[in-house]
Amino acid sequence: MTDHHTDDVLKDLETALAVTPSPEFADGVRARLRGESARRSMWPVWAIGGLAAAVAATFALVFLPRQQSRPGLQPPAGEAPQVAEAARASSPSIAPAEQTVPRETPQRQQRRAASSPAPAEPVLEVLTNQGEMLRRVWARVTPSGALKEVDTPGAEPPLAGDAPIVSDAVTAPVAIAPVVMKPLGEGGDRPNQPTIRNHEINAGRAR
Amino acid sequence: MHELVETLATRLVTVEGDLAREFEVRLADSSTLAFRVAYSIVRQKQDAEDVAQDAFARAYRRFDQLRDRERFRAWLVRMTWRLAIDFKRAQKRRASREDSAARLVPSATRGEPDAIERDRSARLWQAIDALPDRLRIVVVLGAIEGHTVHDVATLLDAPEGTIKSRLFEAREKLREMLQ
Repeated sequence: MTDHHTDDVLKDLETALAVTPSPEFADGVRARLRGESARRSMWPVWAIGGLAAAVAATFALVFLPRQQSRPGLQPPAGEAPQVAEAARASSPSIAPAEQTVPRETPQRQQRRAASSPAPAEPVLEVLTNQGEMLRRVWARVTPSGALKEVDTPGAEPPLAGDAPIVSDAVTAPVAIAPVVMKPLGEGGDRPNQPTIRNHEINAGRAR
Repeated sequence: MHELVETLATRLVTVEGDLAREFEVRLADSSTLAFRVAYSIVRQKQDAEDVAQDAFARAYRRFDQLRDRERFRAWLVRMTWRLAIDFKRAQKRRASREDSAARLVPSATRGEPDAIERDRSARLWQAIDALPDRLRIVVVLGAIEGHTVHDVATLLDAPEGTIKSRLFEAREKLREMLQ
């Protein structure tokens, strides 16, 4: 292979590269430029939208928890969680609201308890025939200490008067008076109670 | 104040209009160059047009820095070359994922009726593709639009001596490959 052959290859390359773009080439470039300028003209809209969303999220995360802790400015129930949830959804990178909530002090708890409605009391029920139920259970205990099964299919039939325990259980609701915590120094119990001092205790022992 | 704003706005529109007109001139002047540079790598007319159009769109973004003709063409050639290389790499990755049956017909030889001619073309591109990038671009630019060593040196922003030595090296490698 000589230089002549290399020249042939280079000539072939020249021939292969003697291609021209289609007549629509320039139109394609212009179309791209139009699309690009349209996209560029839209950036202020996106920027303003993003900024507004960021401000709203910041407001929701920083100011709403503070308002919740003030009795007079408390929003209706259910509103704050929705707003905080929306803010969290729109800006996941911002720290959760729990981190921005100030620490609860006894004064704050007291104020909140005074302003918010009392929660519904839980209904407590107790067995009123506990003695009877225990007797029945004791009657089922075998000498080995195991409890005889009565509801299992194929097992021996229950003894007379040996009805299922659960259906015989009688329960009744128990009302518990709400516990009221009075703050110290405001008519609470402790300041009015007599104080027992060490020397009085020692005197009692001596007697 | 109102007159000043009006004057500034008029000047801005004039500058924008001037830039657009100048860009149109560059587009007409350099579209074939960019297209051929892209074609030397991607070997498909449609793909080469896409790559060259992309390069022009990028050139327009910084056209205020590229108003000089030679500077514009040099920047355009380098950008087109880079984009075409990227395109080819992406194409190879796609092709490796696709069915091997689709790859049996080389894209560069589609539509050529003569088998001998097809074989010759395949060997040519195989040899050109085997060259390192720094030598290949010199050979390709030398084969486009009758560019001289000086033209290639201007386009690549390199000394003429460097271009000459690269051309020599490329010819040597081609001769070795075609032996």
